[in-house]
Amino acid sequence: MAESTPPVIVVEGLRKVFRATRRDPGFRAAFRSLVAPRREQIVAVEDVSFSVQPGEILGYLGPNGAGKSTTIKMLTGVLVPTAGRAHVLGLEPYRDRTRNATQIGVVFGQRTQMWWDLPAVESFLILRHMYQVPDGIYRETIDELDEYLELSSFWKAPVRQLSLGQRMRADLAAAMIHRPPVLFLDEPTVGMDVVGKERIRLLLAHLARERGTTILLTTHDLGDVQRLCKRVLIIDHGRAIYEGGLQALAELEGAHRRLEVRFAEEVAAPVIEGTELEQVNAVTAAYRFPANRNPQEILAPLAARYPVADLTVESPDFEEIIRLIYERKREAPDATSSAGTEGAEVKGETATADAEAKAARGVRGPRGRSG
Amino acid sequence: MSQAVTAIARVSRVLLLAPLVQLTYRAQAIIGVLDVVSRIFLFTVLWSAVYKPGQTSGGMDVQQAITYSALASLLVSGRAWPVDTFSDRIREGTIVYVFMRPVPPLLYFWGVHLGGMGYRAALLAIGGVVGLAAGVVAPPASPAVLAAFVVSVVMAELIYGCFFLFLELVAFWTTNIWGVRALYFFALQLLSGALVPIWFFPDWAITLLAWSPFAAAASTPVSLYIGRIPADSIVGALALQVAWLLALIGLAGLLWRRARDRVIVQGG
Repeated sequence: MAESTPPVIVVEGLRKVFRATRRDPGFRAAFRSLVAPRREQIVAVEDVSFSVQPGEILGYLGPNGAGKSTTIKMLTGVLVPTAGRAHVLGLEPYRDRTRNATQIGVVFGQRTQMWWDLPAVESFLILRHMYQVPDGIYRETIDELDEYLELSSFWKAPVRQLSLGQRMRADLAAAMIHRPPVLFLDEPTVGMDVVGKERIRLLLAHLARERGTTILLTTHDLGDVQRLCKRVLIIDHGRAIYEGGLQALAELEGAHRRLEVRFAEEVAAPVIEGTELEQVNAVTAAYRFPANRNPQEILAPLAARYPVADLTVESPDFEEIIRLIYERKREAPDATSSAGTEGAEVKGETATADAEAKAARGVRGPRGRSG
Repeated sequence: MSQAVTAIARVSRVLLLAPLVQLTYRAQAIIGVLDVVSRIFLFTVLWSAVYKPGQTSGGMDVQQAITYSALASLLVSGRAWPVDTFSDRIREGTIVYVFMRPVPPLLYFWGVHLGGMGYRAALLAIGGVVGLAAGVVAPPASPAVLAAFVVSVVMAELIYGCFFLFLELVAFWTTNIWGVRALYFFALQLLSGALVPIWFFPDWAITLLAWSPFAAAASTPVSLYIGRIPADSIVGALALQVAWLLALIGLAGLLWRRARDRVIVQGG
């Protein structure tokens, strides 16, 4: 990775603690809460550090409630960090909120920023004025967005009448009216169909490649990540549990790939060392093998021993990998996994790299959050 | 200075928000007109029945009472349908967008409010002309009184904007303000003399209310128009409105900072 240009987004030791009122169900508890509310501290973001380079799309992943949206709110200046620091293009968002606002575009996929009762195009015009976009540039931008997102077929309809996919595309356009160099996208493809998702992915890839737009992408759709991100950061309970390249993630210990083989003739019990035979059916068989193993080591003996007619090696199942990382974290909460290729960083104060497994585990301080 | 100009340019299109939303809902617009017309009709019938021929109450005759009620209804009834409020956004979880645009949230609030104010002013003007033609509204005593009325309406709307903002800020702590809002609109209509002309109140209440910001939010312009506030007291009445406006804007600023801190520290 080129290190000559300074990163666009820098986050160091970022932390956010909320004070919330908690109450048990029922009338008595409701009344008690009215008289003497019980306050609790909720650590939404425990300690997160990362940086994003110009034109990079960083996948910011994690289960629900992991602290992803809170991080984004701190980067937009809406929330003041409890500790640590965040910089976007050299600005501290909460100190310079208005200036920061002009250089970022934000989508919270679950909530629209458009005005519900008005046509989508009216929302665009209000935003055009807010960001003081000159007429010529506005038209150029809208044309480009329309080309990718196909907005003009529905943008005169009130937002409340749009389908979820249409609304989401319009929301994405609304966040880009002012051509921001930085985009924070929190689940921009949630609930969309395959075609809609593909449109959005094409646009994001185009922006990052052609215009150098830097994108922090939060999603539960691993298809988005595979298509767009070279690098991912996974957080859980407000802490980074994995940071590294997508390739390294695929080769993480415990990840598996699938091999499907069609034989030229019927074969009895076609066993291969180091694989698990998942399925066998006359002339076909399916195997599972560790993703960090060289497929050659499996294919060579297979071809030598059996009459192979055709075979496919599937890419690793990312959903399984992510699940693995979450689970591992829960079993050993103080460990932070990371992998060592493609500019991956080992997270933690002391860390040892296990070169053979291309995975490493760091040891961090005591875990500060329960539940 | 140039910063202020930019800020105003940024919020300029927000002024269209309230009128555009109101015009989107034809049924609501029609019901709104019906609401005002039926109120005025009701007051006309009521005051005609209450006043004996030639009788005055609190120095006001039946024509003045009817004009007062008609103008007060036109002035306040449109306030019942606010558009794009902070409280709605807090409940829906979209308040965050107000805080991440290059327009200060308070300026955004006033942009939306001024747009609504323009819409209500248009209704008041149309309703006033129709009322004049129908003989329900008496013509103003002089062009000067009409001018004072217009200035005073603007001031009353701005004062009302502050009251509305106070109510909206409550939502930053309680999330839901539907109940509070209903009570609040009623209290504001009653205390501002929009429901019952202020001269029907007991003497002590008349004095108290005359000096209160509630009267300044509705009753003052209408009282100027019908001549309940005599010509030589017009400047004083306008000055009192200005004083209340400045005081309420100052208070709103203080409360706003606390509410904003609640969002940016507590996450809304």
